[in-house]
Amino acid sequence: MRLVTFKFILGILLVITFLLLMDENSFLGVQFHEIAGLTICLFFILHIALSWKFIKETTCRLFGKAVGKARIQYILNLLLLIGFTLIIISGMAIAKTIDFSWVGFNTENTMIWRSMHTSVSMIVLIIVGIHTGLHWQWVMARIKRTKQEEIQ
Amino acid sequence: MIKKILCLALVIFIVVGAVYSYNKVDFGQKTAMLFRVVFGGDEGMRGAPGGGPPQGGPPPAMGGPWQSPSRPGFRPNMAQGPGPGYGPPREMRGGQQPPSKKLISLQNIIPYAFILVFFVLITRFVELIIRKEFSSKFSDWIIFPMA
Repeated sequence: MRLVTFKFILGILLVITFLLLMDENSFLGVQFHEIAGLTICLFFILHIALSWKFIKETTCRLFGKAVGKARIQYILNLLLLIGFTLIIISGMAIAKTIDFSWVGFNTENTMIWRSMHTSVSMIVLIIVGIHTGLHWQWVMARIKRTKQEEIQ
Repeated sequence: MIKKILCLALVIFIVVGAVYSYNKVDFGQKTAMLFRVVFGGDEGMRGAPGGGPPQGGPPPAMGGPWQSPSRPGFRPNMAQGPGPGYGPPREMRGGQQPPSKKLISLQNIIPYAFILVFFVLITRFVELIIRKEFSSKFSDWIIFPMA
């Protein structure tokens, strides 16, 4: 399997898993929510690693002559990174089926952790939508390419 | 022509679905929840119906005025028993969990999918407008003034 195709499938998996995680009681319950939440973290790191070339190049050009779209994408990616980090940390703090007490979260602030988990998830959902929209041409190109490869 | 009509119908379907989903999952409230807890204290709770701190004066059991259940800040006297309208249904009492009819339910996921697709659509729409407006001046999107 080519790296680009793998990246494309990984992206689709990320979006679908993220959608399934939006409601903790849907789709196999809380245990699935927590395990898949940790798995999506690995998917996310892999997604960043595969796009490392873009991140490196854009970081170098960010304060130089970069196209506006690339700048917006970069800022969105940064917000996504912060968002996912906050979701995972707050999720670990309020976990019910997996024990994260060894991390040493303050259990008195459950309300704040829970609010953070819900609010940031909603904001990240919006950013994921914008992120997908900005990469739509790439997504469509990949779909067309895959279809052509299937015909050949 | 048919393709255009289908596209328009799809766009309307997504927009209507997203607006309906926004209200259904209470998206705005959930998004603002953190800011309310962190910055607003219990200010946000005071505005909620039936919420807020109790008003001044002793409770009725201690000689205070009679409190209407519909009054903001009303707290029922639980020593007399919660009454027939309180708590979970009879069959679910005693620490039992509600029976799960469906193990795999995607019903609650669909509204979020609509909201996600709506933002993809909005982004595409804005991008196409920018491309159309600025295509004569720039090769790809606008270059920011700082560039």
